[in-house]
Amino acid sequence: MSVQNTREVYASLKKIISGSKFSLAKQGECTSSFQTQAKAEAQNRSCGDTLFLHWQVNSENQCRVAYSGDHCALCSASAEVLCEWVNSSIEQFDQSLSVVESVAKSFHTIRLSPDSTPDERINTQIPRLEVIQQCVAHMPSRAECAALPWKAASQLIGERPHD
Amino acid sequence: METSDIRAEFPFFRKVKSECGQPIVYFDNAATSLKPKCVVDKVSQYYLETSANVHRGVHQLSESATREFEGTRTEIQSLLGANHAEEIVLTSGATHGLNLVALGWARQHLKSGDEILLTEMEHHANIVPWHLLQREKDIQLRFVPVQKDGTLDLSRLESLVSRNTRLASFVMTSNVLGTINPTREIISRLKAINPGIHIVLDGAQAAAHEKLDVCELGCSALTLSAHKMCGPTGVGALYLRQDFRDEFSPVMGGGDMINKVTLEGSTFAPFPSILEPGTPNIAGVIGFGEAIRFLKRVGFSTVQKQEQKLLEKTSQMLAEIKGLRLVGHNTHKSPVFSFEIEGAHSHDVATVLDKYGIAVRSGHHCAQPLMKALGVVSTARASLNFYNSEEEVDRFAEALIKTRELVQ
Ligand SMILES: Cc1ncc(COP(=O)(O)O)c(C=O)c1O
Ligand SMILES: [Zn+2]
Repeated sequence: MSVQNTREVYASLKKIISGSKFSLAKQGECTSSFQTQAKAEAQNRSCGDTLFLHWQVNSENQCRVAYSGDHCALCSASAEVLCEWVNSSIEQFDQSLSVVESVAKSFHTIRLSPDSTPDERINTQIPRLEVIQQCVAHMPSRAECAALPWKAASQLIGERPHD
Repeated sequence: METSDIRAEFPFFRKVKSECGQPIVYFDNAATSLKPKCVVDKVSQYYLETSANVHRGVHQLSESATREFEGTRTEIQSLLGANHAEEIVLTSGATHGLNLVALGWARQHLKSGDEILLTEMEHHANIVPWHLLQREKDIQLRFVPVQKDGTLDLSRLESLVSRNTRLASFVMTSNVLGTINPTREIISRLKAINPGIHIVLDGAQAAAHEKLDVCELGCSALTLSAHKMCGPTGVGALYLRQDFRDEFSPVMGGGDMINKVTLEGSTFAPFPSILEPGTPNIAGVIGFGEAIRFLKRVGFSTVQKQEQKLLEKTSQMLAEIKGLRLVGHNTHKSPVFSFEIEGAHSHDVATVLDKYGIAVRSGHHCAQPLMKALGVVSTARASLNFYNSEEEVDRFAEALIKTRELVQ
């Protein structure tokens, strides 16, 4: 990957992160009207990246998914893309399990064959997922950083309270 | 030896180029060192020309392999100033050595209520074996705290030791911060309170950078890894002082550690063989011997002179980079630097530095309790070795400035 590309990669990651709507670090967890009811944690064993995915509910009983933790730019951007997508139809969160799992896997597929075409990668209809996939293709050793939020999501689906 | 002559012995510097077209600046020496050609030649010579098992067979190939293999033991004995070659156990690395102390000695000799003293600065290899032992035994672990400057807080040392402290095990040089601990002072203060305490030293990051003398240090054990000393991976050594060693029980059984086996039972070989079951990493051990001879050829005074120069230059350079924060700022250290760039994650910093041809590590460096004590989750780490050059530090500086722009 040329330095020119690295620049582009970071520019695209920064664009996603700077417009973040679901990072609790950005908003401050307590100032939001949403309260966390359940939380899933995913760890990047090799580097110590930690990501928490929150299941949140507000006083009007609206639900959403948001994230916090200590992690790199790729992981943040991937979490943002995930949250934006699941929150667009949050009532279908549980049904998204198989998609979420296959996206998590797809990053490792890209790691092993970074030259695969976007068509071979699944679910390009998730908005901006392609950006994350391209970043992984440019820095394959970071596949796990991108996968982390999606792994946390499958856990959260299993663990969140159902009333 | 001049730095340029030393570098000439490492094909890496001539052959390996980064994706950006420039040679790679290898600043990840605390993870593993580069290997000089003589070491690699020795390893391949074993496989191509000898390839016999050791301690078995009477043919000349086996004799020659055994001679070279045992030669490494003698090299290590002399490197560490041990009294006997039989006090050197060949292991798979520093981790193996520490686990051997836990399983071969502590598991047999510690009783309920006994204590082990460690520090917050330890590599996981010197924490997890003791956690595992705690699953079997009611023993206490105590930890010397680390201060924000990256040194041990020794003001509380005496309050952490008692007559029940059977063993103290700690790192001589930190793999994260480069901090060189005052090993001699710590040992004498511990022994003043408890003369019977066993001292175990993790010399993984120290052995290639200073002359160690186990007798003068007065330790019971010292562990090291060949691959951090210009040698092959998967090999190391554990020094065990004779009286301490004689209290060890075998941990694994099999070939080479026995005296006689019948269906009713086994009797065992003398030390150190009793702790070395199975066919060892013969090529690795032979390569380790060559690595020690190489280090001797370079000489510890050359190593230290160059590392001091690199330490000063890099420290000054890093201090001038805005938005860069060094984690730990003591100055008595080896040229290992953990740092953060404001507003960026270490993972991103390391990735972008790599694109500029600078190899550093990011993450927790297998020392999560230390990171926690320092109030960080992960850092980028540049670790330099005696064969690195001042020009490489200049390239590092340029790359850091460009990286900062990109990731912040
Ligand atoms: C201080 C320290 N101790 C122990 C180890 C473990 O060495 P090895 O992985 O070679 O067994 C390391 C390696 O990173 C280290 O830096
Ligand atoms: Zn990451």
